[in-house]
Amino acid sequence: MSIVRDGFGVSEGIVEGTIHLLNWGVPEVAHSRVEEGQVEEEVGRFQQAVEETRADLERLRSQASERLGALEGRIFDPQLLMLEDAEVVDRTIEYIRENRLTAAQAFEWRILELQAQWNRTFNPMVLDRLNDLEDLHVRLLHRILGLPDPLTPPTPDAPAILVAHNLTPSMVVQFDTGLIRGIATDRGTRTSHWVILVRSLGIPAVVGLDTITQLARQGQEAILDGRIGRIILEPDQQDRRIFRGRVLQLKEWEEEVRRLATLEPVTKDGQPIALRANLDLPSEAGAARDHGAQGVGLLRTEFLVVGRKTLPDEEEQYREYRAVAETFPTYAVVVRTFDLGGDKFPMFLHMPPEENPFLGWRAIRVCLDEPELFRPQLRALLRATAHGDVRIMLPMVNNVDEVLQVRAMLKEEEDRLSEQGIPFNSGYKLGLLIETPAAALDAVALARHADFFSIGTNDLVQYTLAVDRTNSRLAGLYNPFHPAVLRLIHQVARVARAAGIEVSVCGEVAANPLGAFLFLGLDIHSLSVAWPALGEIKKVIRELRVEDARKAVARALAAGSAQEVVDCLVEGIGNSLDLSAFAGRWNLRLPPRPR
Amino acid sequence: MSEVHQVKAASVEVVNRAGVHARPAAALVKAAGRFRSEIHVEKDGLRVNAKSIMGVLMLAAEQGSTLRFTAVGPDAEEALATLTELVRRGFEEE
Repeated sequence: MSIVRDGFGVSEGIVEGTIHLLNWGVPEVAHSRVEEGQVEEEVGRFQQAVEETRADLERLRSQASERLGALEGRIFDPQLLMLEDAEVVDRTIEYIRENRLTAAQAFEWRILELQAQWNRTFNPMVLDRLNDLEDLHVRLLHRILGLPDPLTPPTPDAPAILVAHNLTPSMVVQFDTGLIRGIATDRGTRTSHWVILVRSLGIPAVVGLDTITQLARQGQEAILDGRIGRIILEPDQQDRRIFRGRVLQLKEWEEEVRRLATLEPVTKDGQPIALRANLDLPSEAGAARDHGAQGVGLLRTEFLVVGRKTLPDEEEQYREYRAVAETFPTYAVVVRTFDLGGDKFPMFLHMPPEENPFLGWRAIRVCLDEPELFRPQLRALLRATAHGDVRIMLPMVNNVDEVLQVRAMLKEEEDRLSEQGIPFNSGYKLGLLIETPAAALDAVALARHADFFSIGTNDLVQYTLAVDRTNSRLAGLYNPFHPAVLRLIHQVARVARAAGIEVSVCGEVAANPLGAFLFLGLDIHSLSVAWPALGEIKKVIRELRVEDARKAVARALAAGSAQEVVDCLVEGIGNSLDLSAFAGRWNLRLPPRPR
Repeated sequence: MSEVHQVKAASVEVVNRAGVHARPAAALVKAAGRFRSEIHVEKDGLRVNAKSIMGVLMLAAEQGSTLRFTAVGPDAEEALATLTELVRRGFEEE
């Protein structure tokens, strides 16, 4: 029986391979003391482990130097020096002798102390080096406990699907990437640095699988689908048939999509749709344009801060925003201001751990509290308006007051720019990302102060249904077609229309044919999707009719369950689109096609 | 009988863009380790053993910060000259 798990597809491609499990992590150390007579034996054990780890690291250093150059090889130098450092070695030996601890326990104590010491500095440069300390912690403990090397590389004879709790960029460079067909991890996000690295290497990857390291076994057969974010362990005959079919289908589909990039996104009954791209990185702008994007509906800006040691300066941000604006000279580029908190933390901001981070200090709340972070971004955005239709979008706004505060800040920065003679376009638009039930229900008040709305369905679904979207156990409950969600979106669209402001949708569900059909029926004529999905959704739009969608949505609004909503949409689409091409995506169970 | 040595001191500004991050810290500790003198390095009141990577990393010396080296021992002068030169050259990273 095959095991299917869904996470987030962060790097495209479908592959078959053999599981290669990386047991990278701190092993359990039992608490125990030794007899007086055994103390020197433990000291010896520790010293031997140090020597073995030194040999391991030196081997890695020469491998990395060969593969990537001498400078990269030196990333292992700090760990090597730690192995010579009295603070690490002598103190551990002291603990063994004075407290009659085992080598493993003494070393663990010492590392925990050092970690605590470093943590107390709250200095991002120091915190960044905790990785090196952890690296050493894991390696040396494995040696002391006589466990196998936690990073055994895959062998050339078995094309590997790497399974790990999480990775780091240095772990990725450590492997011969030619031997890795795909990657599946418990943790990680689209913007993790190693993910960006892996994407640029073209290795399919699925992250956020939560428990895949516990489910997968070394040497197990698997299929990994980086497009829909799925891994299948021990696939059966049928899985393999579907896999091969999907590979073929994808190939044909991609050819079709390339052809479509040049066509207009217009519904069958003539309604033009503004089809924009969601971008994680400014460098994706060119690819988005080539896929037919009519501008950017959501430029995320966390790439500027997450994993960075210092505040990004205004100049750097200005250059990035301007580059995207110049890629789309005739279209809108909607930039979302820093959406930090939740699961995204920059190293230079001290964000205390929270009980409920998604209900905590995040998004606009962080921005308003941290003017040193926020003001340079606003200034950079204002300056970018001189180079195109750059629009500013605020995440997770609930209160009119939050918009007013930002407006006041913008006014001050505008005045400053004018004084300094720096150009900007004062006619820029400021819009709101509607992603909480509060914002949706209070859209009338918010619309008075906003130039546009964009509905962020990912968070709106999470907050409306009280379902953590990163919790895989709740995946079945996370349903964008829940009638409550539908009603909220309906409300926002109606208010925006009445207020005469644009409303668009920029969540994942816009890339879903049923979602697109739903939004057409709600008279939402602007959609923004991850750029690789552009061609596909354009194809969908060109097959659909707004008139059918309106009728289907009118019925769906009276539905009593998510399944009923889906049924109404499927029935409304009828024969205009072959939905079987989408089966299995977005965890969507499609009912049998109506006859 | 041990010789008595005077404490020698020298200050230098960190010039490389990334500051004394992992690789420069390693270079500094390696260089300090080649001398017999006792060498310390201080930044903003925090003083650490220049031969200890754990110590030097704790300094988190950024671009523009000032490092003050002190050395006691037979080759103190030479050590200070070598270490300040290493920092001044930006650890030959760029």
